[in-house]
Amino acid sequence: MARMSSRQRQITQIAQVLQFDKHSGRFFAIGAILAVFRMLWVIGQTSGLFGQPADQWMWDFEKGLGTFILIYALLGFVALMGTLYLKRIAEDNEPITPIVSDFLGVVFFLLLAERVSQSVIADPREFATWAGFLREGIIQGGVYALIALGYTLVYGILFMINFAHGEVMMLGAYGGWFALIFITDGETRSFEAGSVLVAAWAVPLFIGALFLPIDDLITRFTTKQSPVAGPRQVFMWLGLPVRFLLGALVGYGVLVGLGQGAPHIHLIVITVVGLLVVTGVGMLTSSFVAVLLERIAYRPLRKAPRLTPLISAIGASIFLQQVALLAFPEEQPYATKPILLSEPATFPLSLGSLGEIPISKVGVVITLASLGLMALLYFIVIRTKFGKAMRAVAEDKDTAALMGIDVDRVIVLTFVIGAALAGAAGVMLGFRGESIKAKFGFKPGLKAFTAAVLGGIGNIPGAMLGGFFLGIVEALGPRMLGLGNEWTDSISFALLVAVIIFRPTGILGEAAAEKKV
Amino acid sequence: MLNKLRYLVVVVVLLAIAAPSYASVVPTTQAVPGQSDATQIVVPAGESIKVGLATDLSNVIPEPGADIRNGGLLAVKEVNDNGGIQGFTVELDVQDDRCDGADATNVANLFAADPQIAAVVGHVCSGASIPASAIYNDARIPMVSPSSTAAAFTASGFDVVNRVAFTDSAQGVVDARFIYDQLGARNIALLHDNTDYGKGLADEVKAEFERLGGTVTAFEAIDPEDQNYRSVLTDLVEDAPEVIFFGGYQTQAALLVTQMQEVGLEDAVFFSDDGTYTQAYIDQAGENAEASYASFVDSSSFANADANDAFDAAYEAEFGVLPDDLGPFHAHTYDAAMIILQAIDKVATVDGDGNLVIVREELIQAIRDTEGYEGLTGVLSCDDHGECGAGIIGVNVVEGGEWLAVEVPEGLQFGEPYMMDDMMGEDEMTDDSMSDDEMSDDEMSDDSMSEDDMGTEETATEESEG
Repeated sequence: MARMSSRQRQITQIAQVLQFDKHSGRFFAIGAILAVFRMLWVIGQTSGLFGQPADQWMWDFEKGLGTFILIYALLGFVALMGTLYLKRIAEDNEPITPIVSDFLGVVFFLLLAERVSQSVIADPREFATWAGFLREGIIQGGVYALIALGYTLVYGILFMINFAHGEVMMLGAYGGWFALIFITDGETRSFEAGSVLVAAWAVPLFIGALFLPIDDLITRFTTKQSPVAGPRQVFMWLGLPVRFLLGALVGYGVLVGLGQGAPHIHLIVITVVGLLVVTGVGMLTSSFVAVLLERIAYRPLRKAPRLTPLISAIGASIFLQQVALLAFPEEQPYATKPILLSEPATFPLSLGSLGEIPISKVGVVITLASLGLMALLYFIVIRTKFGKAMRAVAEDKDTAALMGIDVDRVIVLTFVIGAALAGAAGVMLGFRGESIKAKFGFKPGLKAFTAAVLGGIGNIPGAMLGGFFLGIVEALGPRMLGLGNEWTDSISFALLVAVIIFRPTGILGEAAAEKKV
Repeated sequence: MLNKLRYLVVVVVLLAIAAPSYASVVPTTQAVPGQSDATQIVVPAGESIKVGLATDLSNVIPEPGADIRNGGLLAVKEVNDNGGIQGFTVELDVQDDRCDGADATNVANLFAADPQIAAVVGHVCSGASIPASAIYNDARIPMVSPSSTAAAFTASGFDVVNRVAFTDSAQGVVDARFIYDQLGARNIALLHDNTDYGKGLADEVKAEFERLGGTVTAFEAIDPEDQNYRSVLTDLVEDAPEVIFFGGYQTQAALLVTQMQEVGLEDAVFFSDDGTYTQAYIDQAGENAEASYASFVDSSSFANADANDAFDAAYEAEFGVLPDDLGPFHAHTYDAAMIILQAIDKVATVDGDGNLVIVREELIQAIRDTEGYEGLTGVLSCDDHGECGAGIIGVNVVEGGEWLAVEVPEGLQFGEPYMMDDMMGEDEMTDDSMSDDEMSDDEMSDDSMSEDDMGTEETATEESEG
């Protein structure tokens, strides 16, 4: 070991104690959390969340927090320098980029928190306004998350970015639009008048299906063996139409009875049925498109270098967009809305002494539906046999095939699931009042891709988290930084760049990303 | 390192050599008899005079864009039915510029590359007209825009640039005064779509409204590619603006007025501009459009009601739809086309071979020299800046799914001096509710006369219309 001065010795001692090269990731995470905490604190303080006007100790605390992060970063700098020096004299050739970028990440967050603190104090907003931004962020984030899941599922299994995913969503939205037109009563332009007719078919069919011996039928068709032996088999087959008819009659009876006896519940039932049909058609449309896409544009290229399917995806994206432009030259809004969700369109949410904010009913339904779909997806991936097959294919296609998994089928179904989620997202955007047009998928697609990368691409909880995170950053970001609304997109994509630099594996980190689901 | 530097130097030198050769691509001006070139257009006997028309048929304002195309087609049809220009028929070359600067540049280059194009009716959007005008200026093709209202459009000083539309300097001033005086608002929020047109107009409104003593609580841009404006609208709520003014086009206006209901801005009045004064806006926004305002040229100021009725009838017979169902600018387009065609008629000569010869510079001058042309939108004369528009700005409100004209007191018009009564205390003014309007209005019109000296300085320097 070379001779060193007393200061150098001090630095190397600190570095040895802190083991910065091992703990730089934790150093970054703590710094980021501190900075985010400072940003949230300053918002709470200026908006009167902790009482209006803010006490002196809050200001002191805010400033103190800033100073603490600064000292933390300086300490990190000393540790970094020491570590770099140690590495140099030990002739350690491990790359230093990760630890340097972790340190720079802390500096980035330090500056960000300082900027936010300054601009929020200079231009304070009421808490109700911030809550309003949060509300918009969560609703939009749910939609981003649904679309992002499609990117992540496909990436997890094929290591390829499906850039046509936004267009798949757009076509799903068109599918939902056609269903809505079909449902909407021609003369009264009423959603309910049409859904009553649809419900009159759909509810009996559904209840009738519930009356069938579902478990037995599943066993029969999956194992090719009859669950019941001998002559009772005949009874089972003969019983099917009888059971179905009985169920359908019960369903119809319940529906009519509700219409007579409990009109409000009846209204809820037909609205839900109508919305399910519209969403279902949207999901089916985009699933169908995704199957075609996979068969035509991606499967022939599965053995090709990774760049080739990517280019194919971009080509498919442009193709689908142009086809939609030719087929539907005009913008199509979801013109009819269910009465339940539109009259009135909002309900007030009280924030106690901090005022109240209006919450859009459509927004609530969208958020609940997206959370429900995410939960369903998570259940499928973690708990079902198919989910297990999916995870196996994601890990190693060849070995999965040796274990008797039909890889092609798993891949197609993965595309279908991702596309169905995107189709639902498209319908949601339609009901949110957006006009459906050929270009409609481009921007949400790009944003959802950003969300997927934010959370860690290939990582399912990551995509969900990334979606909500991006939605909230988009709603809050320009206001926190004191920038105009036109900076929204710049902020989202700057965030993407920042994540790629400081956390290439996304927010949820490498460990989760390695499992690919 | 040195190699790189050397390479860089070589590239720079090459570029420097190449640069002058770009300049020489512009065709040298040498008139060849009997052939169209940079100085003249020669229409061989039996062929048609070509006039370009650029409009948005597919992107931002497709319906009003189609309305503009129809207005131009009708003007050309009328001229052709009446025997054409000196025996030559006119052909309209319609191109879609998608209301977009880049696409408009392509269309303008297309027209510029066609030596037979004599003049261009268009473009429609200011954000398309402004970049296109530089190309027409180089190609010496005169343009008459029916609908580009941005003040910046004629500010370039190009002699090929003309418009029949009013200017947003006028529209913005009248909008601001109407909001301040007739709606009694003292706090407004301004939104714009970050185009030359929308932002330019919002700037004009902001300047005038602040001059009057009102407060602009927010001045924010929205992205027309986006469809979710709830966050930016949420930001406006806490300042409780009485009016939200939007500079931009119908689709975004419809989305804004709808989303306003969702975030707690139900009580604010939505006010927009000629880009929103369309049936499509009402169709898209539905009930939410009720009681929202938009300014446009006051059609009752059109000189010739009979001619307008006859035009509407001919339009419906030709296209099977009433012009107002598509958009507002058909009469302006008709006038723009007619100004071009009568200027061509004035300068065109038939040469010895029976070809029609139009000298480009003469045509440019003839359009600028238009004087007292009796069009559908009034008696039109072009000034030195290419402002040919007539008529005063009117304000319209949606009632029962239709646009209805609102009376605008004369004192609010552009060019009129307008100041609020200084005797009224600031506090009183901020508490003004809508019902107090008439009173302040009366006081205003009395006092506007006596306060000339303050108001005129600012307004008189700009051109009044017509």
